[in-house]
Amino acid sequence: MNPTADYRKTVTVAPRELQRGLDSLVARGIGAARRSALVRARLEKRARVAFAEYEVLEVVGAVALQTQIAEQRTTMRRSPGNRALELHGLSLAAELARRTLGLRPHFVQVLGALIQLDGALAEMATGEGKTLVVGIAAAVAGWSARPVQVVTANDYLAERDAEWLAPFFKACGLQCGAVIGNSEAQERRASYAKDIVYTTGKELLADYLRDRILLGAMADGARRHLRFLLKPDQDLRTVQRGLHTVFVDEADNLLIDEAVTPLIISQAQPNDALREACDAAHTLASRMERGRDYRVDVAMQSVELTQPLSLDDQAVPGIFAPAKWREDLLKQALKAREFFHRDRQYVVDDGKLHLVDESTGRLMPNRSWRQGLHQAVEAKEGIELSDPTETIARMSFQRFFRMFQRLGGLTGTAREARDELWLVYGLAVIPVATNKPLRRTQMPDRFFATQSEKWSAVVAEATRLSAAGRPVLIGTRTISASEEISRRLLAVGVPHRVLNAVRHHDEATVIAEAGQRGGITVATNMAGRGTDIRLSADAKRAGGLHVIATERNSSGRIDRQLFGRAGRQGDPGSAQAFVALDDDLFLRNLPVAGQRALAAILKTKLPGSTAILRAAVAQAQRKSQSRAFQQRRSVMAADSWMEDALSFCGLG
Amino acid sequence: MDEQGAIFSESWHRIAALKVHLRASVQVRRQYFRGEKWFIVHDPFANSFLRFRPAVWQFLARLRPDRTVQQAWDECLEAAPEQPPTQPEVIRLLAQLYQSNLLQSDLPPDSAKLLERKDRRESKQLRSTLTNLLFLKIPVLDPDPLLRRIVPSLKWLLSPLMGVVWIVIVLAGIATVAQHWPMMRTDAADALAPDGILALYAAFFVTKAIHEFGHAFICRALGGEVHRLGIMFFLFSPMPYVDATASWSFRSRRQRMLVGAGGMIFELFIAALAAFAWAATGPGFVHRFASNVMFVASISTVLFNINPLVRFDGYYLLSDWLDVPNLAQRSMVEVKHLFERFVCGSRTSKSAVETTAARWGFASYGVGSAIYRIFMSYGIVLLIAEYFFGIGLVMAAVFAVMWFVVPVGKFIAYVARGASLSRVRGRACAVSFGVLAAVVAFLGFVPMPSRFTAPGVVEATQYRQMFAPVDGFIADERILSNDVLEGATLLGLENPQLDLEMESLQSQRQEISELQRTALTTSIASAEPLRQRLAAVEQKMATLAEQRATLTVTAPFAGRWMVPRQGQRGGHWLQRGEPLGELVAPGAFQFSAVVPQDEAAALFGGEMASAQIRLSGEAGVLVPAKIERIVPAKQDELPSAALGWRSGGDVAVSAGDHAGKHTTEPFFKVIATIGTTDAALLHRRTGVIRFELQAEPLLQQWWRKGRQLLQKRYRV
Repeated sequence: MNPTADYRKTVTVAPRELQRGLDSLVARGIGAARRSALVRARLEKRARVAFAEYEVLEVVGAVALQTQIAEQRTTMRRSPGNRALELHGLSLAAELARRTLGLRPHFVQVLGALIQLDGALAEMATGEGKTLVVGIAAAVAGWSARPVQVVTANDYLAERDAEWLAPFFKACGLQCGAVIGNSEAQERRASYAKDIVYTTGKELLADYLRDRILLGAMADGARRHLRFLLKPDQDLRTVQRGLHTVFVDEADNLLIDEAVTPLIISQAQPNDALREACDAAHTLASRMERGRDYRVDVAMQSVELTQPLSLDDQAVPGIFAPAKWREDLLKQALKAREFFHRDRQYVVDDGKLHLVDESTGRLMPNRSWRQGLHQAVEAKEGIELSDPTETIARMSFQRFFRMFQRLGGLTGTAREARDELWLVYGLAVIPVATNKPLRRTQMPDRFFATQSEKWSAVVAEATRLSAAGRPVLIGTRTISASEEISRRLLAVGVPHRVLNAVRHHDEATVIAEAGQRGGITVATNMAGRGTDIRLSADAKRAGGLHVIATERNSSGRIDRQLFGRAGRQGDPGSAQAFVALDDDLFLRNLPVAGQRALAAILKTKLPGSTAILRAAVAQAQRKSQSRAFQQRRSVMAADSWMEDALSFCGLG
Repeated sequence: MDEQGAIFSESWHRIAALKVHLRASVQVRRQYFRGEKWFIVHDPFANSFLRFRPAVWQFLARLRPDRTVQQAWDECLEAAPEQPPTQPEVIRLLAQLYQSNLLQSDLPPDSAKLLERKDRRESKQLRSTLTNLLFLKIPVLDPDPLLRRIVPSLKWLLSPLMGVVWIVIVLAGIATVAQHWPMMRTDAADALAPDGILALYAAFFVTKAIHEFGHAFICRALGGEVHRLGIMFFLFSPMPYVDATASWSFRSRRQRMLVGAGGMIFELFIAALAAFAWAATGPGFVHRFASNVMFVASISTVLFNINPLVRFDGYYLLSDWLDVPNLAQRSMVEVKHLFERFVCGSRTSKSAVETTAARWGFASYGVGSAIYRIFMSYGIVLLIAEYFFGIGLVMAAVFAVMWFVVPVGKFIAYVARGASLSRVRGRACAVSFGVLAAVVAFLGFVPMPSRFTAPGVVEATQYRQMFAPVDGFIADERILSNDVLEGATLLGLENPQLDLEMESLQSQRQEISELQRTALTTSIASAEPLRQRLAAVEQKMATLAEQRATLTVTAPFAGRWMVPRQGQRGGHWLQRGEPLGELVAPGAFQFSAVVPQDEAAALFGGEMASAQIRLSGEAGVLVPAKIERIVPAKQDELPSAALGWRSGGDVAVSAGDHAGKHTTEPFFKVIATIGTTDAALLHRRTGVIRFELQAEPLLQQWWRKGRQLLQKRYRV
C-alpha cells in the first residue's frame, strides 16, 4: 500500500450536526428542491444522453471497447467526481452488462444508476432489476480507483450478487469480492482490497470498528506516516482500505429502521456480582404487583415505584448496595416483565436468549441489551444468566453511513422517510418509474373490532383464495402472530408453511414454494426479504400472488414492502390489509378517547366510516414515524455529544 | 432508553481504560455553601471555575496517572458504597473537565480535534459578542503588575478604622445632600438636560473607573489576581471594567462579598466627597462635576449595582450572602419545576431545593428578575431608538426578536416538545396555550378605557391684560386684594411732562387769541391762518387732556386685579405699553390645553367620551371638564410659558425664544369648560387634562401608539 493510499484509508467525512429550529426548516426546503421535478427532469435528460450513447456502443468492437475502458479508468482516477465522465462510464458499463450478462439494461436502470452515482437515493419498485442497477453504478465508481462498497440486505444476497456480477466486473477490468458473516480475516482483507466489495452493513461496520480498534491513536494518517518513518517494519494491517463510496440496497431498512441499533464489538466479562444482583432483583420483583407496588407508563416504556424500597428488601449484594442502584435494578426487572415479551422482542432457543428485531421479525444474533436488562430478562425466563458483555467499540449505522464521501442507495420504499433521509444523510429520494406497468390490485383495508375477529377473517380469506388456486402470503409483524395464524390454519386443517425468526432453517425452499398454485405461506414481514417469490405458470393464470397484511405497521413503508411482494415485474397480483382496532399501531399511537371513538365508528358501519378509519391509520402511522424519528434524532444528538465530549479518549 | 439514573453507561468502554487526571496547574479549594461542603476547581490559566460535590470529588481525587478510570471507579465503590458516581455521571464529569481543559491524559491529544475545538470556541465567542453587543467587552491590558506594586502601600484602606471613616463620611455626605435638597433637585434636572449629557458622561466614566478600581483593589488586596482591564461598551457608551472573578475561589464568603461590594464602596465614598465639594461651591465647573458624580453614583447604584435582579454587583453579593452560587440558573430551574409540578401536574418533576421557603424564594427571584429584565429591555430599546434614529429602529427590531420572539419561541418549543413534559403534554399545552390565548383575547378583544393626557392652563373666560396707556410715574398705587367694581381706580399715574405741555399749550392759545384780536383791527388778512393755528392748538390740548384722563387706570369690568410685586412699584417710571397687571373676571374659568399633533386623530375623530383635569398641586382632585372647542388650526404659541421646557413644563420650546412660549412642534389648542369643583381655580394655574376616548382593546391602543411613535421619530 503506497503512502497516499495508506493516508486515505482513514480519511472520512466528519458527520455534521443535525440542523435545528429554523435551520432545519431551511434544510427541509433545500431537500424538497433537491428532489423536485426540475432536478428529476435534469437527471432524466442526462440519463437519456448516456442511454443514447450506450445504444451507439452496441456496434463497437470488443477491442475498441477495451481501449475506451482503459482510457475511462485513467481519466476517472484523476477526477473521480466528474459528471461528464460518469455519464460516459454509465454507457460503457451498460453496454458491458449487455455483453457479459446477456441482459439489456433498461432506461430506468441507467437512470437508477445515475441517481446513485449522484449521491441520491433511487426509489425503484421491487423486481426492477435493482442488482444490475447497483452493479452498473459500482462499476462506474470502481473505475475511479476509490474503494467501492455495496451493501446488501443479507449475506446470501451479497454472495449471490457478487457471484452473478463477477463476469461483468471482470469485463470492466475490475475485481469484486464479497464479505459475509463467516469470512475469515484473511479473506476479508483480500476482498476489501478488491475494487468492489459486496457485503452487509453489519460486516462493513464491524470491520471498520475492528480496524479502528487496531489503529487506536494511529487512526490519524499523518501520525501513521511518522510512525512508519520511525518503525518501518511494524505494519498496521487493517482489513479495509478506506471509506469512500457506498451503495446501499434496501437503504430504508438500514438507514431508517436499523439506524440507531448500535453495532457493538464486545467481549464477555465474568461478573458474578451483577448476576447475583439480577437474580435477587428478579426474586424481589416477582413479589411485587402492578398497581400496588409500581406504576407502568406504556407510552414512555417506563416503570415507577409507588413507594421506596423497604428495609428488608435491601438484601442485594455487592456493588448494588447503594439504594439508588438497587432501585434501578429492580425497575429493570419490572421492565423486563412489563415490556419484554417472548417471541416478540426475543426468543429463547436452546437455553439462550436471542433478540428479535421488532420491525423485521428477524433474529439479531450476538446482540444483547444493555447491562442488567439482558440479565433481568434472562432471570425472568429462568434460563442461566449470561455474563455481561464488555463493550469495546460501538457505533450506529446512522453515524457510520454519514462518514462516506459518497452515499448512494436504492430501495423500493423511501418516500415516507424522505425528510429524514435528507436531513440525516443528505440523500435526496428520487422516484423512478417502473419499466413495466404495475399490475397489482391494492384492495381497501378491512377493519375489525378485535384480534380474534380479524384472525378468523384472515383464515377464511386465505382459505378462499387458496381454493381458487392463488398463492397467498400472510404477513405478520411479530413471530407470535405468525404462530397464532399457523395454529388457526392448522385448526381448520389448511396446509401452509411458516417462515419466521424461529423457523427459518429452510427459508430458500419456503420462498421457492410460496409461488406455487394454491400455496399458503405465513411469514413475518421481513422474512426472506430481498428474494423474489417467483410465480409458477398456473399461479399466474389464477391471478398471481395475494398478500394479506394482518396488521398495519408503524410505517407505511413497511406495509408497502409487504404489499410489493405481489405483482412483481409485471406479474398480476393483489394485496389487502386486515386491521383490528386493538392492533399495537392504534394502542401506541392514538389517545384512548380516539380509540373508543374508532370502535364506535366501526360499529355504525355508516358509508363514511371506513374513510375515517383509514385516516386514523394514516394518523397513527404519522405519529409513530415522527416519534421514531424524534427518538433517532435524540440518539444522534446524544451520539454527537458523546463524540465531541469524549474526543480526548481517541476513537469510539 | 435513557441513561438517566442508570448505573452503567454504554459508552463506558471509551473511558474505562484511560489514564486521566487533573492537570497539575489546577487548584482546588474547599468551600462551604449553606453548610454543605463543595470543592471548587480553579484553572488559573483560563480563570475558569467548576464546582463539585464531595462524592464527585472523591472520584476525581482518585484519578492518577498510574490508574485507569475503571480502577478509580472501583476504588470509589469500595470506599463509599452509598454514594458512588454512576458511569454516566463519570462520563459527563470527564467530558466537562476536558471541555474546560483541566484534564491531562496518557493518550496523545487529537490535534485536529483540538484545533476544531479552538475554532468552535472562537466562533462561539464571536457569536456571543455579537448577541451581547450592548455589553461588548474589549480587554485592553493586564493591571496585575501595577496592582501588585500599589496595593501593599494602600493596604491600610482595608482596615476596620477605614470602615468607620467610610461610614462617617458617607453619612455626612447623605446629610449634606439632604440639607441642600432643593438645590439638588434643580441640579439633577440640569444634569439630564440635553446640553449636559457630555459632562454627565465624563462624570460617569470617572465614577465607573473608581468603581472598577474598587473591585480590583480589594480583590488584589485579598490575594486574588486581576488580569484583565478593559473597556466595556455599555449601551454603546464606553466605560472601564476589570475582571475580578478570581475572588470566586476565595474561601471566605465575607471576602467574596467584600470584593463584590468593593465597587460600590469606593463609588459611594467618592460620591460623598463630591457632595461636600458640591455643597461648598457655587455654580461653576467644580460644582457641576460634583453634582454629576453624585447623580451617577446614586442612580447607577440603585438601578444596577445594588439591584440583585440583574447580573451586576448586587446579584453576586446576594448570591454570596445567601450562599447560593448560580442563583439565577437555579431559580430558573426552580421556576421550571414549579411550572411542571403545579401547572402541568407532572409528578416526576423534582425540586432541587429542600425547604419550602427556599423554594418560594428561588421562584420569586426567578419571576422577579424575569419581569425586571423585560422592563429593562423595553427601556433600553426605547432609549436606543430615541438616540440612534435609523439604526435604532433596526436594533429595536433585533432586540425585540432576541428578548421577546426567541424566548416565547423557546417556551412554545419547550411546552410542545420538551422531554420533561412528555407525560403531561396535554395539560401543559392546554394550560399554557390556554393562558396565552386568554391573554391575547383579553388584549385583542376586551375594550379597555383609552385615554391620553395633555398639559394646559386654567384661564378665566374674561380677563384683560392692562398696559400703561401713557408714560408716567406710578403715583397712586392701590393695594387691591379683593375684587374691584367696574370703574374703580386701579392705578394712578403721574406725568409732569403732560402738565407742562398743557400749560405751554394754554399759553399758546392765549397768545393766539391776543393776536386774533389785534388782527381784527390791523391786518384782516391774517385772521384765517390764526384761526387755524388756534384750532390746532385746541386739538392738541384735547388730546393731551384725554391722555391725562387715562393716567387714572380704571377697571373696565368688575374683577380681580392681579399685579406682580403689588405695592412695591410706587414712583416707578413706566413707558407706554408696559404691562401693568391683569384684570380677571371672577367665577368663569376655562382650561386651555396643548394637545400634541400625534393625538390629533383622536381629537378630531369625534370619539371623545369625557375629560378630566388634574391641577398641579391638587393631583388628588379630579375636576370634570367638557371640551368646548378645538381651535381648528395648528398653534405654536403656548398659552402660558409655564407649560414650556424653559419654565419646567413638558412641552418642547425652541431655544431661541426668550419668552419660552414658542413650541418646536405645532400643537392643537383645546378649550374645555370646567365643571363645578372645590379645587381652587386660579387664573394661569397649570394642570393636566385627561381625555377619555371610546373604550377599545389594548392591542389596538398599543398598535396606534406604536404607529404614532414611529411616525414621530421616523416619519413613517
